[in-house]
Amino acid sequence: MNNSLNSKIEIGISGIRNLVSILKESHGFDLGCFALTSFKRRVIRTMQENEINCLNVFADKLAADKSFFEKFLKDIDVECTEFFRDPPFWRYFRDEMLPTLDKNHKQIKIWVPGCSSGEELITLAIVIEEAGLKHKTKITGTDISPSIIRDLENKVYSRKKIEISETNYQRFNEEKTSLLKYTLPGKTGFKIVDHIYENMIFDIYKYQNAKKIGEFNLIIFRNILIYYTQECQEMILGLFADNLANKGYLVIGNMENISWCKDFYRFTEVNQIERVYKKTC
Amino acid sequence: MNTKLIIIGGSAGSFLIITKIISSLPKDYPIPVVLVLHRLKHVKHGFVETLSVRSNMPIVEPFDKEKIKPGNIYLAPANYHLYIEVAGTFALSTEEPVNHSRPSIDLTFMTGGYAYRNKCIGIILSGANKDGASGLKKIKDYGGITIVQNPSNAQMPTMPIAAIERTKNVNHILNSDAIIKFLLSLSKK
Repeated sequence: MNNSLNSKIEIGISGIRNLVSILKESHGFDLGCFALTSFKRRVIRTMQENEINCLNVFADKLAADKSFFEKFLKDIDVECTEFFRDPPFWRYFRDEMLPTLDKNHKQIKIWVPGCSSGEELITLAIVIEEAGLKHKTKITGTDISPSIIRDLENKVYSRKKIEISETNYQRFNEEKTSLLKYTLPGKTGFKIVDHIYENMIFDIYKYQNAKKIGEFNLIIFRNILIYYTQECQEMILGLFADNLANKGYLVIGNMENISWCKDFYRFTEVNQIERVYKKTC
Repeated sequence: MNTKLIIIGGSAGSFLIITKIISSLPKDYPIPVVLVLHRLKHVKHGFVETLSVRSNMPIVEPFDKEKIKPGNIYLAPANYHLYIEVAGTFALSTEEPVNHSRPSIDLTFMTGGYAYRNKCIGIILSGANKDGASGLKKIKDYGGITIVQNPSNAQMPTMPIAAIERTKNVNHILNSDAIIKFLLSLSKK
């Protein structure tokens, strides 16, 4: 990671555009929706990991080798670095949103798009289990990367990540119980206990030309909009409005903004600080 | 050179000089100022207010994709990296910390230096780590102006020393008063 700071690889905007168009042609996958700076940084990092210094060589290899491309999709997906990120949000979710969802629905349908390495999904599942609402909840996790979806239930999390998350969890849960009760220690890190995955299903989902996949009561999409261009953010918001049931909640990240999007009129703000919205039309 | 962006990186021991700088800049200061300070990730509220009391300009924690505009002092939000895009907007990121830091001064310097080239000024203040050193070098490489707080004038000299060593020929090594004088001189040109 740190060596990417001192990378000799320089890529310009035209280089990125060229890469995007090659990948669109060869795999039918449009990566032009990613915000430039963070995407460029992840491309450079992946090139370094593969010891490729030339963008053209890298693009050719991606175009010709499907499994290399799949791995690339996984590498450019941004992992959430912690479970229970923003403990105040999770407290608000537990104390205000979940009771409302419980009261209003026989079954609570939740979608976590861009679930990546699963930290938000698992956090959500733990909060729901602790609230005793697992039996009436169904969580759908989707991602653009097939290999991420394949590996999710066997994912091993680093000790460092569990340690950071433990601090968050204790801020969330004033009883000071430990997150470790949901983990199984192994040689290389921690797995999450099987029963946390019980009410989850996983699928591949791309935003472009996307179809409606359900009528959800809640979509959690925190700190993922930031990785997309404004054009794509607007498209994604429209998709979410279409996939939410009336009065369904949408949660975004603390510093994300959707108020300028054309579909924003379909939402009402529920909590400004925790960035919670409700679909109203 | 017509400066369009000033980025200031500070860590331990930089609070006093930061407040001195922001209270010295007038309300109509013509260049946007970005502060990247190492701060506690769980303390999201209060810091903006604390700085605002001492500032003539509004202190703003920018939202993702917000346009960079003069008349504002921007503060990198807690627990995010702050990128500067070529389009003159901010972009946020939750990618892993760099040198144990998020926000990383290096990343804001590098992306700001790339986007604003010779119209960018980078300033490194007091700090007990080496964040910002690689980024300041990039600002220099892209043609921008580099300023480091004089290590003997800094409460914690580690960060200024690292930046001076890594960048090799920083443009100015200044005491806090001289940094303020320099910034004020930019608005008179």
